[in-house]
Amino acid sequence: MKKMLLVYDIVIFIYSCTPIKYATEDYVSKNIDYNSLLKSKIVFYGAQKFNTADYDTVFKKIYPDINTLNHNIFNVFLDELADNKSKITITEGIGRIPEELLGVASFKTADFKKVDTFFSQVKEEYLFIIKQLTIHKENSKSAGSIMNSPACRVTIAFECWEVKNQNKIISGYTSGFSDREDINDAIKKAVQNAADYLLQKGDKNQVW
Amino acid sequence: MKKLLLLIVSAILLSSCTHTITITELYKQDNIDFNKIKEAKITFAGTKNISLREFKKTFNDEYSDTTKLDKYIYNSFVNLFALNMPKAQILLADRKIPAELFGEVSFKTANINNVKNYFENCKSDYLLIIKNIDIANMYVSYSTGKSFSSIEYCLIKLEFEYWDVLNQKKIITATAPGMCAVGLFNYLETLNGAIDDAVKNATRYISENGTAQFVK
Repeated sequence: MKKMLLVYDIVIFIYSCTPIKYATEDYVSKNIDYNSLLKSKIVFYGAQKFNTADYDTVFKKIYPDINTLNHNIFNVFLDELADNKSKITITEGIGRIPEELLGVASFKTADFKKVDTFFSQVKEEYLFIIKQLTIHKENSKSAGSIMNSPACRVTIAFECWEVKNQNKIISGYTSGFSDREDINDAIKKAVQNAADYLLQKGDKNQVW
Repeated sequence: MKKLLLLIVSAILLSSCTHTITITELYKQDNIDFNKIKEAKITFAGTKNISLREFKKTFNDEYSDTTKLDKYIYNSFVNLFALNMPKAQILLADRKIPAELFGEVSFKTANINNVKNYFENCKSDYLLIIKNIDIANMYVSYSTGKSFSSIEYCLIKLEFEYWDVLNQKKIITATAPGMCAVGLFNYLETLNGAIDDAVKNATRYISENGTAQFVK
């Protein structure tokens, strides 16, 4: 009996230790020049859209002001670059990104001149945007246990744009996970993973 | 008697081992009417991008012509729609989506009218696009008490988008996972099994009104 339970635990343990380890990119421009990107000036905009359904009350309590959250996100990104001795010069973007640039505006009513106006005001060479931050609850099995316990996963969808040519060069997403349901911790990991993805020149096989 | 008890306990334990499926939502418009989608005419516009990490030989042997992959995915959607959303009708697109729809053309040179024309000539209510299919693998090791062994799985992440044709607007971007164990070295069957599993989860997300997590 003991042996059977032990075998079961081993199987579950290994299974639960196999999370998806990748940053996922859904678009990378063929002409991307990582060498130039990794020593460039980048303006960074924090989350533009939110989907916090499972943690709505907690989220609004911690972050009644989105600007505070986005400033924290910027600092996490900045620290991750600094910790890795990056040559990127990063500045925090102020204001909002036009919906037309985020790809969520209706093509019927969109005013694409807003995109041109927006880009003409950017002084940096590249633009990095977190398009959406999603927080949701999910069940996870902790190591060695057969019991499900709630955990929090944060996913950030990001894009990188070349300002001069108004051209998207990267689109992808990363996740951060907290089995203590610590929203801040999960956000931090997701943002660090996005920075690492960039620093590793799009290496998707990072562990998070 | 002891053996019987052991069998019963292990059966109970294994049946309690439920696997939770998580749909990753990357964009979701507020107030989506899922019931409307479940009864709508939907055009499947094919696969935009493929991230091939593993199963490279199998994939290239079978799907180097991506039209064949699109047909396979389309047929999988047809079967799963019939089961989960029988009132919905899924059609295969006969035209390529303009790159401007994805913002993958420089805004300096983009012709937005290409998108408008595409939507205006679209004869359905929604557009379903596979924005990216990510193909990877994982090994799960297990012990039989005396020795260790492992099983290879094919892992799929299917990033799909729904667009409202009338309003020419994206309403959902999400990722559905799919997995299938390699059996008897039949890698194509495994790859297709993982694709089917991901399509099933993507369909279930809509049929269950945008529920991001459900038990397999």
